[in-house]
Amino acid sequence: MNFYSIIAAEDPSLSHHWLFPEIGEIIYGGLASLIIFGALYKFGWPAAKKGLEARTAKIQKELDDAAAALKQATSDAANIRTALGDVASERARILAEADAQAAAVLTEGRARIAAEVADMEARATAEIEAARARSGDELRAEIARLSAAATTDAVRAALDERTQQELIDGFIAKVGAGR
Amino acid sequence: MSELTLSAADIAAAISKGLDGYTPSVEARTVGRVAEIGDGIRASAVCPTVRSTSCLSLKTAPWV
Amino acid sequence: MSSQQITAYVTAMFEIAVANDVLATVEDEMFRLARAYETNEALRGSLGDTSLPIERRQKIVEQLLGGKAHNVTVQLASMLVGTGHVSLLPQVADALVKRASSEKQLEVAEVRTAVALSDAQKTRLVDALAKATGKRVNLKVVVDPSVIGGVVATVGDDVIDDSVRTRLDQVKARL
Repeated sequence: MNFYSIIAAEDPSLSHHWLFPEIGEIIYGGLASLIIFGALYKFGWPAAKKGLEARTAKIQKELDDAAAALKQATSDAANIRTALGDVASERARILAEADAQAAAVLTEGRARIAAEVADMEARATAEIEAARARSGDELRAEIARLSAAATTDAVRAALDERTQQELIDGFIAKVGAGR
Repeated sequence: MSELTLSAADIAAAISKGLDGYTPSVEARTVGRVAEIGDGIRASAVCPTVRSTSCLSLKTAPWV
Repeated sequence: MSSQQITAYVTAMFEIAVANDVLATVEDEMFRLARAYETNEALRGSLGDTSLPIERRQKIVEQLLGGKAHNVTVQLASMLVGTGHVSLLPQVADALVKRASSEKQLEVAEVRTAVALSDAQKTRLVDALAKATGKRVNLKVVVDPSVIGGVVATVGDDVIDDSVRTRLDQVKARL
């Protein structure tokens, strides 16, 4: 029951300062620490250094890569810009060509339409003239026909029985005379 | 010999007497009728007042 | 309307008329009937109306000619209606007249006047035409108002046109 208290219990006469360790402990402790630190420094430090250097190099490389990429991108952008410039000029050229063609077609069309209109006007004038002439002719023919009909009726009315007989007798006489 | 004279009055009288009492019966008779097929009306390129059917025929031209 | 059909009818009518010894009568009456048919639209229409029964159309012919024309003429005309060839009547009648005339060695003279001729005038006309054409004529006078006045005489192929109508036409042509 008091095994632990036995082990834990120290000689009450050897109680030391509450903060500072005993001399023997300081020496052993200090020596051990020195050994360990020495070993660490000897073996550990290069590796650590290498690791640090490697990391530095890696970061540097990344920075370099980034710089290179930036440079490349910049040059690419420049290329694209020139290409765009070409495209823009090309487009402008095509548009200009199209405009010129359209203008040509337009003038040609206008000229053709003007010619057609002039032609139609000429034909219309000619037709009107012809119609006028025709109507004149038709009127004259109508008048002639009407007057002829009137004449026929007048003559018919004028031919009484006696005149008819005279005509017939005259015919017979003419024919009989051997014409 | 006296000549045969047929005046218009004679003719009319004869026709009416001939048709006296005649009632035309309703018979079934076939009446022929020619169905006009309007076709092939080529509308000109400018069709201002052409019927819609003519314009339609242009659209369905088989040159597509 | 083939000429063969016309010739067939003419021959038949001619033979029948000769057999009955009424050639002159028949040919003249057929001539008159043909002229009436040509000028009268009602007659043409009714005799040619195929929707009318044949008996009806023949009855019209009988009503028209019965008592006026010789029975043989009536029968021959009815025959033409009955066979459905009444439209050939003018041509058949003219051919019959020509045939009958040539039989008697006469030339057919168709004379058209605006008014009717007296018998005396007809006799004189026959003589005058014989003198003028050197042919004996079978005179067929037709009253045709379109002549207006005067006479148009057709003898065979010759035409003597002394009508007022023609004289007026000549004046109109110069208008």
